[in-house]
Amino acid sequence: MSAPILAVKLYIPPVRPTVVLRPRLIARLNEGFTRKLTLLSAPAGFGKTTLVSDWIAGCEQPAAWLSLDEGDNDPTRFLSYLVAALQTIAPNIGAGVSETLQSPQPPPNESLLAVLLNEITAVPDNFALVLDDYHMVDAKPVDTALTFLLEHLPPQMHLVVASREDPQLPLARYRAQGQLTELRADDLRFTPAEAAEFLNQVMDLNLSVEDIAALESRTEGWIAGLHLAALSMQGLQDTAGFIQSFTGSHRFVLDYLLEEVLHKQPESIRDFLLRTSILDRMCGSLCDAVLLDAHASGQETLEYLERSNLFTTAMDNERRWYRYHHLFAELLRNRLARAMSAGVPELHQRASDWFARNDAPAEAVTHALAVQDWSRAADVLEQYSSEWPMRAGVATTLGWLESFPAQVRLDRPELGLAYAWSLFMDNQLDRAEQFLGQLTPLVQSDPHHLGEVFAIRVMIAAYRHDMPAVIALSDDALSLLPNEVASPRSRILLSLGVAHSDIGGDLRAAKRAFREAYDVGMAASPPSSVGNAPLPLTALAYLAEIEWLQGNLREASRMYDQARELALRWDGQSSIALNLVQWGRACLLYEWDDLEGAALALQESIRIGEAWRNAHMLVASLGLSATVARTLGQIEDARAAIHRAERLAHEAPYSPLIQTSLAVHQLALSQTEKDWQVLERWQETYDAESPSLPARMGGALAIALAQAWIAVHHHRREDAALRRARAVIEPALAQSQQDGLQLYVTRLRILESLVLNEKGEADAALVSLQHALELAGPENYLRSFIDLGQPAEALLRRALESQSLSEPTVGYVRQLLSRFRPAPPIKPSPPRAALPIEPLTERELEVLRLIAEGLSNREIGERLFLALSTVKGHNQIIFDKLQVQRRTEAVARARELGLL
Amino acid sequence: MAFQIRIKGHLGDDWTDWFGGMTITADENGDTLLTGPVPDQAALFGLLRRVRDLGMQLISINRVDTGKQDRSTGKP
Repeated sequence: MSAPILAVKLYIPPVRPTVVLRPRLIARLNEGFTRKLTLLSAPAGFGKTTLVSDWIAGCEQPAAWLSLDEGDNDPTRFLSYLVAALQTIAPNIGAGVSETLQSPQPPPNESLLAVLLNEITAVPDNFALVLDDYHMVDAKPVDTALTFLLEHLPPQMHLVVASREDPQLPLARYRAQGQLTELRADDLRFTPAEAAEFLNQVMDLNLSVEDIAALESRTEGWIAGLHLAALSMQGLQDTAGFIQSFTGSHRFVLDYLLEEVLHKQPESIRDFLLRTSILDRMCGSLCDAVLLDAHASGQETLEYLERSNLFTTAMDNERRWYRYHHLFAELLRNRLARAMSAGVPELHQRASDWFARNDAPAEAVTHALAVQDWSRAADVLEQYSSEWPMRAGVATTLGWLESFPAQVRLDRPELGLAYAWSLFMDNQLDRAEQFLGQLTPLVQSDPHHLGEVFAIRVMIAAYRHDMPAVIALSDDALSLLPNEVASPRSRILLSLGVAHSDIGGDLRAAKRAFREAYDVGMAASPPSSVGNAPLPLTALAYLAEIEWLQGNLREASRMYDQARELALRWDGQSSIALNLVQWGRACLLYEWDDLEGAALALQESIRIGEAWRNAHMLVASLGLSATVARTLGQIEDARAAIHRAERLAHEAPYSPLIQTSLAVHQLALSQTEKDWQVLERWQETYDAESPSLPARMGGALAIALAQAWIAVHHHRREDAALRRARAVIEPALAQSQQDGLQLYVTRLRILESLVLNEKGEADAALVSLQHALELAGPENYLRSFIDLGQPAEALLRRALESQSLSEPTVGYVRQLLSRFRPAPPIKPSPPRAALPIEPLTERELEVLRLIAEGLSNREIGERLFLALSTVKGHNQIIFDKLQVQRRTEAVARARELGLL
Repeated sequence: MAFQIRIKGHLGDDWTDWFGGMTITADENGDTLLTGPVPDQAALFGLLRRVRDLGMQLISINRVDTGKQDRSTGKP
C-alpha cells in the first residue's frame, strides 16, 4: 500500500512581489543551464530558495521542484517523489517506475533510474529539476542514486541542488569537467548595493550609506541577518541608535536581532510566533488549538505574518497551510526553549490532539514522541493499531515503536503486540519471538492479549515452515484460551489451517481448522479481522477452495457466493480474502464453461492482487486468464498474460505454489503453441520435486503434464508420449485418491480413459470413462472434457453409441458434446480484449470513480492531494488502458467491464 | 571525551540546555566557547548540526583533556 504523494513537496515557492533583483546571480543560473549541475551550497538564511524560485519565475524553460525532508532518506520514497516531480512537467513519465516502486521487492534503484532516464530523453524541451534542502538527506543510497542520475543525465535535463552543506556528489570531477555551476555563501551574500536596495527599497527604511555599510559589515551580508535587522528597524525613530547598539554588541547576530524583532511585536503576535514554532506546518485551526487564544484567529495571524514579511510562506495555492522559514523556526524554537521550557510539552500535546482529531495520526504520534509523552503516543498508536504497518509503512511504524522505552512496550500490551506484529512484518522473526517471550508472562491473565501473542507465534512458526511447532503452539493456545476470546482463537485456527494446507498438505485437517475458524469468527460480534479482511471471510474463502479440490464444485460455488455477500456487507471489497474468492470463482466458472464470467472474476482478482502486491495470486490469475484467452482464440492476449506471469514469478522469492501455478498455465498454452520444450522442462522438474510437493500442487502439475503428453501424441503420433502420460497419471491418481482430492481424481480418470483409447484399448477406455462420468456428472464438469479436444469428443461419442450409459449420464454426455462446437463470442462484442492486459492500478481506479461521480480534474486533485497535472496524467493512462478517448466513454467502458 | 567548540558571536548562559549541557563561555574576541563532555562521535555531530541549523559560524573544534577543562554542569 503506497503512501500518498504530498503536493506541498512539489509546490514551487511563489516569488514575493518585492524582492531584491539579483541580475548577476540570475545570469549565472541562466548560463549554468547548459551544464549538468548547479549547486547552491551555503548556510541557512542566504536566500537560496528565494533566488532559485525567482529564477524559475523568469525562466522560459519548465522546471520541476522537490523540497526534501528526513523521510526522503528512504530511497524508495525519494525515487517516488522524483518521479512525481518530473510528472509535473511531463505527466506520462515514470508511471511504470512508480508502480514498480510499490511492489514488495522492487528491482535495484539503478535499473529503475535507467528506465526513467530513457523516458526523459523523450521530453522535448530543456528543463530543470530543483532539489531544495538536500542537506536533509544523509543516506548513502540516495546520494548514490543521484550520482547515477548525474552520470547519465540526458542533455535536456538540468539539475539544481540547494543545500546547507556540500552534498556527497563527485563535485570535484564536475568542476574539473566544467559541468558544475556553484553559488556559495560569498556569491550569495548581499553586496552593498543589494543591501541598500533591500533595506531602503524593499523594507522601506531610510538609511544612509554609512548605516548600510555598518549593518552590512556586522551581518557580513547575511540576508537573514539583514532581514531581521530591517524588521527591527521598521517604524523605529532612532535607527542610528539601534545600529550603534547592534554593531557594538558581540552577541550572536540572529539572537540579538530576533529578540529585537520579537520585542517590537504585540504580545499576542510574539506569543503566537513562539508557540507555533513547534509546528512543521500550520493552518489556522491548528494554531488556534495550540494557542487556546481568542484574541485573533490563527488564519488571520498567519496571513498577517505573511504580509508583514515575517518569514512565513504559504505551502499551497489555497493559503490554508503555511510554514516558517526553517532558520526562523529554529531560532524561535530555541527562544521558546529558553524562555518557556516548562510550557513546551503542553504545546506538543495540544498539537498532537489536533492532529489526532484531524485524521493525521502520524503527526499526532511524532508530536507526542517529541516530548516523550509515551502515554499519549501509545494512545494514538493503539487506536489505529492494526492498520499502522499498512498506513505508515512498516519501517516508520517500527521506528516509532522502537523509540519507546522497552518498559513501556511491556507495560502496554496493545503497544507491545503492535511491536511484535511490526517486527514480524519486517521479517525480524527472532526478535519478534524474543520479545513475545518477554511479553507472554505479563499477559497471562488477559485472554485476549494472550491469544494475540499465540496468534503471532503461530504465524512465525508457519512462516518458518515449522509444522510441528505450528501444531504444538496451536494446541497449547486453543486449550489455554477460553472460548469467549473468539478473535484470537479464530486467528490461530486460520493460521493452523493455512499451515496444514500449504505446508503439511493435509487438506482434511485444514478443512477442520478453517471450519472452526469460520464458526468461531462468525460468533464474535463484530466479526474479528486480520488486516482489513473480516476473518470469517478469509476462512470461508479457504474452505471453498478445499471443497473445490475435494470435487464438491457446487458446494464451493455456494460458499463463494456467500463470501461475496459477506464482503459486500462488511466492505471487504479490496481485501486479500476477496482475492482468493474471485480467483476461486474464476476457476469454477471456467470449469463450467462460463468464459465471460471467468474473465470478469479474473479482472477483479488481478486488481486486488496488484493492490496487495500478492505475487502468488497475480501469477495464478494471470495464468488462468492466459488459458481463458487461449480458449477464446485470443493468442496475443494469452501470450502477454503468460509473459507477465513469468516475469512476476521470476521476480518473486522462490515458492513452489507460484511455480506450480505458472507451470500449469504455461503447459496449457504450450499445446496451442506446440512448444514441447516447456513440457520437457516441467517434466524434469516434476520428476525431481514431486515427492516433496504437497499433494494439491503435485496433482495439478501432473494433470497439466499428462494433458500435454496426450497432445504431443495426438500431433506427432509418438507412442512414447502416451507412455509418459501414463507414467504421470498412475501415481498421481493413487495419491489423489488417498488425499481425497476428487477434483484431481476426476480429471485424471478422464485423462486415463483417453490414454487407453489412444492405445487402442477400447473397452478399458470406456470403463474408465464411465467411472469418470459418474464422478463428473453430478458436479457438471465441462471444460475438463472440452479442453481435451477432438480425442475426447470421439471417445464420448463412442460411449454414447455403446448404449451402456445410464439415462442421466446420457443427458450429461449430450450436453458435453454440444459444447464441443466453437465457443460463442463474448458479449458485448468488441474485438478488443475482454481481458485486462494492463489492468488499472488502485490509484487509477480511485480517479476513475471520482470521474464517474462527476468531479472535475481540479476537484479530483483536491480530493486526492494531487497536482492538477498529475491528475491529467492519470486520466491519459486510464483512457489508454480502456482504449477510449473521453471521460464518458471511460466511465461507460469501466461499467461494462464491471470496474465501477 | 570532552570537546571545546568555538563559534562566532556571544551567547548567554540560557543556551546551555540547547547545547546539551555544555558550558557557555564568552571570550573577548566576540566568540563563544562551548565546552563539555560529549559521549561519542554521533553526539558530537549532532551538536555541530545544531550549530549549523541556527546559522552560526563554526570557528573550531578541539578535543580537550577531561582532567583539566571539564567544568560542565553535566546532565543528571
